[in-house]
Amino acid sequence: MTALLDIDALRVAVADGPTLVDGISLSVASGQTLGLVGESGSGKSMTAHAVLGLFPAPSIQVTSGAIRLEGIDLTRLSADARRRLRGRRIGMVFQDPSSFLDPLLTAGRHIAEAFRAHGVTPDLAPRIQAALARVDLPASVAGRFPHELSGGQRQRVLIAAALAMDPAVLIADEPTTALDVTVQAGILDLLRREAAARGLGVLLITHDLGVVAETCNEVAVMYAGRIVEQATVHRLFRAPRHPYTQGLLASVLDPGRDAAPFAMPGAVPPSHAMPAGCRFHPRCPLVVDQCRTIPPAMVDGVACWRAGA
Amino acid sequence: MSLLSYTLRRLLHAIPLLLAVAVLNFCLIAAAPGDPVTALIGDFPAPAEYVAKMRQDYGLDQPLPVRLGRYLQHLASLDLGYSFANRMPVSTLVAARLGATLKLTGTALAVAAVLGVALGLLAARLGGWVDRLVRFGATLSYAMPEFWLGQLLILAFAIGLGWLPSQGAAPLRGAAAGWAGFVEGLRYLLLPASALALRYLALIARITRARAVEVLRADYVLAARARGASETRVLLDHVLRNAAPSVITVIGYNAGLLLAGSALTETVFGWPGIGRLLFDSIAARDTPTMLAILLMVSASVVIANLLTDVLHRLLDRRVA
Ligand SMILES: Nc1ncnc2c1ncn2[C@@H]1O[C@H](COP(=O)(O)OP(=O)(O)O)[C@@H](O)[C@H]1O
Ligand SMILES: [Mg+2]
Repeated sequence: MTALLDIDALRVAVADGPTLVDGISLSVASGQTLGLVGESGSGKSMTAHAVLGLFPAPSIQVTSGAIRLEGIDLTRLSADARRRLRGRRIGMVFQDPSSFLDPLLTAGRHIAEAFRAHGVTPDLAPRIQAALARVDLPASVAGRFPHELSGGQRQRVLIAAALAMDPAVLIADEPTTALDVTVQAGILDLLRREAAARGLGVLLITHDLGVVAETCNEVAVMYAGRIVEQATVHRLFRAPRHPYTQGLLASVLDPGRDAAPFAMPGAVPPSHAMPAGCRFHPRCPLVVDQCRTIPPAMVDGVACWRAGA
Repeated sequence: MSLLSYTLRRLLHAIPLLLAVAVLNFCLIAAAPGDPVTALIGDFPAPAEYVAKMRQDYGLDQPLPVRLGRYLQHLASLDLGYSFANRMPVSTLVAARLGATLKLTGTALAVAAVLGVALGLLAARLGGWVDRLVRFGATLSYAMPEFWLGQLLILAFAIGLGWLPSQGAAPLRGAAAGWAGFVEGLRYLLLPASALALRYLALIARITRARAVEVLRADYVLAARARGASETRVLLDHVLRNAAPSVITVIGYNAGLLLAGSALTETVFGWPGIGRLLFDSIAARDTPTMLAILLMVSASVVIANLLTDVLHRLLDRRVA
């Protein structure tokens, strides 16, 4: 498998401030869907922003590491070269489809924007129709405004715009979190289909292990800016090795069980007050002295002093 | 509701509003001391019987309700009355002055809108000292009354530097023909149009900047950038479009500011327009002219507001 997207020891920090993403490595191959899971605040969105080269504030920067897309290190490219890759080789879908669509533009104009940004201007009407058909929307949607569409349709329009230029990689940041459960399945289905049929590499960011189970091949668990465990979905669900992963899995409601889902105590530490050693140690049921002082390295897919203990 | 039926309904609502304005204006001016006859006679020692005879001839001896009724009757047949001070029908008088006012206010509006939007976008996009400069300049400009700014401009550019004329819309000897005449006209227009435009420009720059800052932070702008849209396209396709309804609302709802400013500017610069005519008609107690101009100004404001709301609806289909 050749990696389309290869993130290598990526570090993202606020200038003169805390580190938000602390040396993570991930790779997404063609046709593969990699899940990136973790509680809110663990740095998943920052990772996506780093790949895209668009941070929510100018003070946030990539401080070290590499992000290779089809072999090219994005962090070394000029701003304009990065812009030309956005939407063309990397597509991005966001959490809340209502706020990510311009309320004053029709669905068709959003898709047209993806083409025009990369100099594709002739025959836009048939191209827009094809892009809509690809996400199972009728051609008539092109003339509708966002407020005339349902939540699921809006997300499909955003996916259509993200896939319009046939990117190699799609980053989907909580693409179903804001949608009804009944609509979620359709969107995940669509992503799975694109990966399988066109060899699209998908980085699927979510806090929902159910979504991972349904859609991904591989999964990386992120906690407080670091990857704590990475495995195939099958292996992770069958035998989670990091106490955090175990906690996450236990907190998912299992319908076959009577007991209430286990809720992990505590929360992700704020980025300005990261604990020393293993960042999960204040919440960890298996903590020992070593955990409080020395950060565990990633060995064989897990970063934990107690893994296998 | 369709845009057409909305527009028609708003126009129907405007009629009683303008009627109320006409009645109010009439009563206010009737309550003020003096009338056209006192102004006409001036300091001339006329016998009391002669004055009474004139009042009777002009119907000024009738009680207020009768005079009001006759005024409204004339208005209904689009008759604006007769100006004794100028010895011609008010409609002829106003028509002769309308062009000059439209030229002045139209230029000021265009300059204020184009420069205001451009400066607002620039400030929002660049931030830093450009933003601070635009905001400071806008606040300062907005606090400056037209007549004062007008006099400063005259002092600096007409009297001090002698670059531009300060009075009127054309040379007294008559305007030149063709291209030379056009350039000459621009020279006369420059100072009064600048004096009139500045406060409006400041207002437009401020609202454009505020809205643009907001839109630049919006999720859909991030999504546009994620599609590869350049910063120029983001500004033109998303920021300008989403700022437009607010900017147009501020422009339209402040049309009264422009018209009031025009009266002051025309007076300072001797510009031969409606505003100057209003000033002269007040001095001459020329009631029919005063009433006609006040009604026209009210109608313009009502129409500007209506146009604003229609445009707003055209730009933003979510407005029900
Ligand atoms: N604009 C910002 N400036 C500084 N820190 C931020 C900003 N946005 C988010 N953060 C911080 O970055 C960390 C990671 O956030 P994020 O990547 O959004 O988490 P996730 O997507 O996993 O919920 C959090 O601690 C958050 O407080
Ligand atoms: Mg997030």
